[in-house]
Amino acid sequence: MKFVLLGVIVFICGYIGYGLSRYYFSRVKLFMSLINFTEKLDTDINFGKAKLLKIIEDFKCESKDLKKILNGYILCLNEGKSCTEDMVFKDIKILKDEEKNVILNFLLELGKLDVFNQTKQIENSKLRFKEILEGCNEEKKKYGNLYLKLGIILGLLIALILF
Amino acid sequence: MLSDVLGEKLYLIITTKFNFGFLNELRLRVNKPIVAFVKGQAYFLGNNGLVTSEENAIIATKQMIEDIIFRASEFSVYSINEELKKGFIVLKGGERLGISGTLVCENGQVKTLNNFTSINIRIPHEIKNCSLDAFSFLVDEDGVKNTLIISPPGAGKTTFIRDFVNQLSIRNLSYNVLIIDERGEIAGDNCELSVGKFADVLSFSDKKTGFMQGIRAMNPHIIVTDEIGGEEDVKAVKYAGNCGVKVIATIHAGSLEELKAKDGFTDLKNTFERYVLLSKRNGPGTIEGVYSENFSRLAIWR
Repeated sequence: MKFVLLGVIVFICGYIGYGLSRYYFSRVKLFMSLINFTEKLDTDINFGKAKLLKIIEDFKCESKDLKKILNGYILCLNEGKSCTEDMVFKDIKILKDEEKNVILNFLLELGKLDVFNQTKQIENSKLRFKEILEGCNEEKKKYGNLYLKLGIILGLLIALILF
Repeated sequence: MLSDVLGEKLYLIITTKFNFGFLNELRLRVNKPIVAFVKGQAYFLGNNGLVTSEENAIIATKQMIEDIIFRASEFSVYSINEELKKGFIVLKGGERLGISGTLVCENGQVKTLNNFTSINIRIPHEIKNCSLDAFSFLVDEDGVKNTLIISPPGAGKTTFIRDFVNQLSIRNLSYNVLIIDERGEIAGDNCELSVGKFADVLSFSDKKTGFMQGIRAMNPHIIVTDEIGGEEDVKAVKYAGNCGVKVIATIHAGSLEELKAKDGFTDLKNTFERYVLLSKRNGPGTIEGVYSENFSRLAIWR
């Protein structure tokens, strides 16, 4: 019984550590998905002149956070409201203010330009997202596994003290 | 649909503050009051409906115009470049959105239109039986006469020909009618407007191509088309005549004198057997007179 309890303590501490690490993994996933999204936009706009909502609908989004952002954006469009940070980034906690700004500006320009300028705008945004992704990857390397390890170590330490 | 495109505020005003059925046209120009043409008469659009004083009018902003075009393009302006090059978009309800701005040209070719500064929204109305008074002069036991509908802009030419085609269908006169709908205004973008059960629609084709292809492919008895003007249009109409196809067409002119003075009309003079003159005197679609091939008056409504 005592060993089970100690196991549970290690697991809980490890899980808390995993939760903290996930922040860095989610950020990387979001920006990677965003770059994939810009690539899809680029292709579909240039070759198929597909409508924006159809492109978003067909996009296989791997990041839950980006999915939420795109859903918020679609809601703004359909309700005829101008997109604000509050509407688009509702429930998104993994982005810094500056990153929110970059993404919002990218979304606000979507669908408003002719093919040539729209493609340029998408290309520029993609470069910006790549820069952010590099930073996110570095953060992930530094801190990503750190919290998970710290959590497990803390759990083991508590278990050791209690034992 | 207009409701999706105009935005909640404008749409509410035009549908609740006055009789939307009488609205012909809305014009938005950057930093200028919005103008509404109701029963052919110009008014300013205010928050409480139609106003005559500029101070109470809503001022159109650049943002407002851009938003309308953005919504009309289904949030994808890049996808409507061909429409922008022609200068108009046809909405799902058949409304035509004319756009003005900066025309971008390269090597003498129009590349696109951007920096939008004005829009003109023309609202089609189906006025049931508006062609009825003239109908018996245009159709007899020998069939349908080659007819030219004449009126100034916004006086109901398109509405007239749409109703005329519908009247043929109501009477079960099973002529194969081919509508060459260059701007999607006669039958609507997706044939939403009533054109009867014997009409085929060739949309967004220029007249030359439309007439050639339409006659070859659909073997029509009658071709109906809007706003003939240039040399190519005249050739297309004459081509139909040579193929034994009757033509019902419209043309911009305020009077018969103005029509006769038009370039190219001499070439068409022997083509048409009937002329119908419309005006806005009692609202768009007022029939002023029906005339024979030698312009003698067959009927007059005054």
